[in-house]
Amino acid sequence: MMTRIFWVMFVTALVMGSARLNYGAPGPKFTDSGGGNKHNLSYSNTNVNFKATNSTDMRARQICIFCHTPHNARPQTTLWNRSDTTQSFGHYSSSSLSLHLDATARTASDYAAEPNGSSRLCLSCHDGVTALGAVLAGVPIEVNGSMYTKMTGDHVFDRAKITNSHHPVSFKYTAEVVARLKTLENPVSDYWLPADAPSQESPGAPGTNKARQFVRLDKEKRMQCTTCHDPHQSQFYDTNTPPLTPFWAYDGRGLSTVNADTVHDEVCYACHSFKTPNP
Amino acid sequence: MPVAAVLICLVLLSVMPAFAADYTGGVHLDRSKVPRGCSTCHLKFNFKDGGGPETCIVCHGDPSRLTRQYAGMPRGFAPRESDMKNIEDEFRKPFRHPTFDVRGVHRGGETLPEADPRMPRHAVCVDCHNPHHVSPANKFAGIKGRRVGNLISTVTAEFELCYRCHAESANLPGRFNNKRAELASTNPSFHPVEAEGKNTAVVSLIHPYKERKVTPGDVSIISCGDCHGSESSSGPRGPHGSLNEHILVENYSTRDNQPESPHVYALCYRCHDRSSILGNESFKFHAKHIQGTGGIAGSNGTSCYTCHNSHGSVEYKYLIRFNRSVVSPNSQGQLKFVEKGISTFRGECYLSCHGVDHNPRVY
Repeated sequence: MMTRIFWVMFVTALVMGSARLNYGAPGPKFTDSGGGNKHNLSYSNTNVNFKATNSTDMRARQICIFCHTPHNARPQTTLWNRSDTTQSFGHYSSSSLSLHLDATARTASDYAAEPNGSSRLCLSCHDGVTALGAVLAGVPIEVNGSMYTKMTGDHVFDRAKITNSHHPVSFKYTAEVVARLKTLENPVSDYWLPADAPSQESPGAPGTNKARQFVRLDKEKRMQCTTCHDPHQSQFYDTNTPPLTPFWAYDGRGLSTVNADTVHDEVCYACHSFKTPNP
Repeated sequence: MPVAAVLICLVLLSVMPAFAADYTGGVHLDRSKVPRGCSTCHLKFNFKDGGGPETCIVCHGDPSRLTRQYAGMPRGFAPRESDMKNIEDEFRKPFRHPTFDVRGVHRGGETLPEADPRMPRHAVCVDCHNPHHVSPANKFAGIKGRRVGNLISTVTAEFELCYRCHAESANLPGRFNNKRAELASTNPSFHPVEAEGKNTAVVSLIHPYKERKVTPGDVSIISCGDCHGSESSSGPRGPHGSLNEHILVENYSTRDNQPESPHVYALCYRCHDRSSILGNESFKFHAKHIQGTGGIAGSNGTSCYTCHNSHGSVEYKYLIRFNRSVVSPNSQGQLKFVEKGISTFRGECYLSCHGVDHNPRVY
């Protein structure tokens, strides 16, 4: 009996602790509201397209192993357990992208190479070529009945998508870059740094953007996938098909109207202004 | 109500966001009108020009499109406004901008006027409208004008928008000419688009049009859109398409040898009083030129266009520029107009027209 009480208290303490942690920096979640967390590739997950299927492989039941390992990790990031993607993606190169066209903006933003940093880590699954179970430590883990199962569908990022229709990633987003873009695009205002961004609810008030605490540039000040997306769990679960806010980093906190649209757009507004220059 | 409750209410009211009240963005970013926000056009990484004209007409085309579902747009994308005009219909008319006719040649970030003579003429929606900034009050908000050094100016007047393609473009077809040159306020005469006109006496102006703005109700400046646009009064404003040639809001015939009627020169008669013109209240031979001398073949009148250029004249006052396909030099090889006095509606013409030698004709 005492043991049971101890475990109840222990679990309660863990949940409360994690709840407190979640307020600041949400950690990994096994499932998301309404279904399995798609980044949880472990055997026990439900309602997901891809997951480990070999119940006799003990690694199949580990949640973190598909991306992380405590030993012999690759140096890219914390305890990284995946091989680098072998694909060549290029960069978004629409002729409307000043970041791409203007030498000054390109240099200041270091917009010259392949996707790098955490975006490149995401591509080690999302390239549609690398096996989902291809971990660095040991042989690949069987996913959907095969060690060679790759990601398919809309979530695959290939060269065509990265260079044509996807939001540009892996560029440095600094005050210098913003200043250059404003010069090129719209002298009044087309961009701002998240810290300066007004909220969509009060566009006239600078620095009130509710998503700015959640929208993160990496340590080199680069905009990456993780700027908008939290790979461990979606902070805002929406029921749209397809969801407007997949693995969204921002939970809508602070907005007076919290729905998929407002939560989605507040993140856009963190960097994009669209203030009418000549009303 | 207890004082505390009142205070709480006041505090709440003071910190409540002024949603949409001080909205500074374009209408597409106004959530009260576009309920799904950015994702309406940018779902599933549709960031390449937002999808082009085909995406625009989902909302701005045939109303039946609004009830369908699209792979690249979220459920419930339909705007809340119900008074949107059907732009798609305009582009089905015989005279229209080449928005759906010329596909796949628009490049984002084009520098206009076009510098490459080989570039195909085209006009997609974003050439004239910036979807992020456009508003009912300013249809071309956020459109970039010409690059000046490092800076790109924004278009603040409609004619600047039109000049992007209809002025110095290197790919102007032979039948087009530089509209900036024709409408320049340095010309001897011009329709008052860039500025108030120079002439102090303009023929037969209908109220409220005036040569100079004196009282608040006077209209002394017009815009390209006053003449170029849909022929339907209930249609969308702007020169998307028209049943009239040159995308004109009213009919305007430039042909020679045709009977005059309110319809033939309806465009001119919007601002210039027909009965005054045909009553020779200004130029005393107006009726003779426009109506001809009788109904028999060969004695019909000629178009306003035979003597006047609609945009402006680099040679003469009163928009006089002779249409060389109708008017030729006189027996002395002269082709010119000479004004007598200033704003007296008196002058001399040296030309040959309909076999009649003006050498000169004085009025």
